[in-house]
Amino acid sequence: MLFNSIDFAIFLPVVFLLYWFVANRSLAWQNALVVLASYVFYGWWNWRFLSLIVFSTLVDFVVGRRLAKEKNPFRRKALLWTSVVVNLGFLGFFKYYNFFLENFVQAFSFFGRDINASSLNIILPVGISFYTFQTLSYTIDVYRNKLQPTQDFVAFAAFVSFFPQLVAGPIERASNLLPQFYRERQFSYTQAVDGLRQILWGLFKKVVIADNCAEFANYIFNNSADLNGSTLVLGAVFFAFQIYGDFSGYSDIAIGTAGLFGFQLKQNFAFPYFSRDIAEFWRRWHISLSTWFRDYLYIPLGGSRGSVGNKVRNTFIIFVVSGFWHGANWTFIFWGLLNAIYFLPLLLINRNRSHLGVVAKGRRLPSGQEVALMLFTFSLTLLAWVFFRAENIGHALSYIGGIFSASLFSIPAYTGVGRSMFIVLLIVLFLGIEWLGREEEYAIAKIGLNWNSTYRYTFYYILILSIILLGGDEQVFIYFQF
Amino acid sequence: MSKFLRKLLLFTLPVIVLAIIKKAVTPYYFGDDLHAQKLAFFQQNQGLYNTVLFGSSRVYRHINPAVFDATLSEYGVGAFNFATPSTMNPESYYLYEKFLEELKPGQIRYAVLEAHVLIKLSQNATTTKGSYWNTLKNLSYSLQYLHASSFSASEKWYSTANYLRSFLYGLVDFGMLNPQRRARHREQQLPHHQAGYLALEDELQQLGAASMRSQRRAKFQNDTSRLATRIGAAKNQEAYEQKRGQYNAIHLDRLQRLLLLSEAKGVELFFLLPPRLKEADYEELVPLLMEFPPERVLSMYEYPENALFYSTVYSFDIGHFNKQGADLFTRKLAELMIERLKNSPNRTRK
Repeated sequence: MLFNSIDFAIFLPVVFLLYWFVANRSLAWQNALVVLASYVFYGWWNWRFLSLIVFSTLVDFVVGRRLAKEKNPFRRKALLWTSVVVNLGFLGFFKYYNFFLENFVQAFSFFGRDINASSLNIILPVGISFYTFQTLSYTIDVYRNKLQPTQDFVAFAAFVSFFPQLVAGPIERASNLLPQFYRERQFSYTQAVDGLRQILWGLFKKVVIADNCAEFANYIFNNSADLNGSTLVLGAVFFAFQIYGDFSGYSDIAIGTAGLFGFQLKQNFAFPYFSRDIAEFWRRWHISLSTWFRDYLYIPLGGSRGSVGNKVRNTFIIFVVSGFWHGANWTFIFWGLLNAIYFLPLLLINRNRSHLGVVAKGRRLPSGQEVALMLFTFSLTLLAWVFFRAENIGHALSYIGGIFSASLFSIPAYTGVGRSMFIVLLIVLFLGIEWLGREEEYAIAKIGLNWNSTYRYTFYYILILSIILLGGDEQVFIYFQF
Repeated sequence: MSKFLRKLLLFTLPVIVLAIIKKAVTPYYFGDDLHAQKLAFFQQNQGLYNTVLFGSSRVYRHINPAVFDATLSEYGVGAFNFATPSTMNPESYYLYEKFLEELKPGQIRYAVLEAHVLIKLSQNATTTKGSYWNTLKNLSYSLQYLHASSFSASEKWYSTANYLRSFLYGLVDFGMLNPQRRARHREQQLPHHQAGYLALEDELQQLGAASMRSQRRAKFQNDTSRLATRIGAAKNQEAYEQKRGQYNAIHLDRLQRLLLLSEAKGVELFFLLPPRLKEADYEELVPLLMEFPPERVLSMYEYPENALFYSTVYSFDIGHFNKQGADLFTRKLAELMIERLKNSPNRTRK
């Protein structure tokens, strides 16, 4: 079920009313309703793949309980590996089987050996990369004795399948979300209103910014061979805002929806395009995934400790794995590699934690130096996004080649250029609002709260009218494919 | 909680009011831009036309008014093709009904309306095209139709849910009010010359080789064997006719009302049963149309009488004719109409 669909517009109020008026008799009822609603939400797309979620839930629940009783280190490790193999096995089969197969076949043919292997017509279950990582974090934390295993199966099933963040995150840690299923939830007016505000902002980002940018990003990337350099730059900018509006919009709707049910999810995006270097960008972009890899991969590998060689190795591993997590395509691996190359100099000269706070905190405008740093960082991410969006490496290289040609200094020229300038104007307005709200969890968290209610509501209605009147053609959330 | 719900209701009220106003002030066809363009053209050139054709792409792509007019010249026919792609039951019936409501008596002499089984909404339920026509009246008709249909229980459930989704979406959808979406929609629509007709080849020339239509055509040309199933369906005429009396009463009632409404406006209505439908479609439509006097029905599906319409030579893709096929079909259809007109009482030639 898409957040920006009539189905969800009906589903959400129904579940909300049932949750607070019918199931409010006990915590168990509310949790059971969350599980039921989440399965309906997921099954709306394809009910057959619900079995994967149920199986993954069962395995991790049982593994967690057995880990609590087991003292033998060898058996504990075996239990952990059971969970890892099941979860990553699902992920590997559905997401990477064909990729590995095709690459093996190509590698063998390169050495003059032809092998017969046919790829399977595999459908990628929506959200599999998200919920497998979420359940894995539970098992790993229990294994590390950082978390007590749950005895409440319904609460655990609700944690694994919680519908607001089931299909595209944020990837919640069991230590943050699971305890919330044990606590009695009281309806909070402030939290609910805040949730609605965040949903509204998320919808604006998705429908107005991302969906409009998608039209031109798709056109420019699909016709890149025939377009001039400046147009290709614009195409990359459109894609940068498409993916940001799309994914951070989804996260906002997810966090806001969870808030309506009395849950607090962690911030997933913290205004990444205002970052002053790549290290800061990665602390602000898809935070739940970056911290997952940091805690369960980077730090166990040694992190930034040890020799220079270890630092380099660990950096490359984490960025390449992160790229590969996004999809079974060399373009994502290159995207990860490129980000590792951007990040490594900062790490080696110990400047990767130079910008921990919010840019221009307490000031209305940034300094000239801050502007330059933000523009430079944004330019680096633009180049990386080309790999992320391109069909293959060849396409990405020819796209970048097209950018750095003489035509870079010509005027953008493509079908619909006039209308796209309107989208550019929308992006500028959007960035202005994001800048004003950059010290909050989401841009409009505080905007208008001190205003006269007429102005405040006018602002909200402007956002709603923009969604209605300026929305682009409906596009599926990009991160559904990951 | 009550404060929250009260404020939320108050907050959403203006949006609901806006949606109601939108529904009230926008024209009935505000969801099919191609139909809107055709209607505007038709109204500007009213004197030229006395015959209208309604239906899906099987009318839009298959009936060339120039050929139709020439064949029916002795009846002084001037036809305008109102059909648009994917416009089926009930959308097509709704558009024809609304057209009639706004028609002055005597303005139109003949109408051809393609008969369809009820469209099974799925993903398209929550699109502007899949919902603008879904008024309370059409929703009621669709649900009654589904209830009376021979669909399986799961199909009935699924379709009922989708008709409800479509109805709700239609209430809140501002689709064509969105200037950007409207502009894009207009760009996608190609000029409809030749009195509303546009052959698929002509469209393909403008869409280019990368278009989905081109790919669909290539797929058909690579494997024309699928046409055999359509031929198989057309061969079962006897089996369909044996089901006489087993019609969907709600569907019959709707068509009868359209017939009466047409008569009231001085329009002679013909129901078209096109070739190349699926077996399930004929199973429902043949017994249904047998309930009407034969002179009201233009049945063009029977095999081998209409074998040419199943020939790959005249095919564009599995469901459609190419330009040559469309011209041939139009001529044969017009000839059948002449037969019907000759057999019809009180008939006068030009």
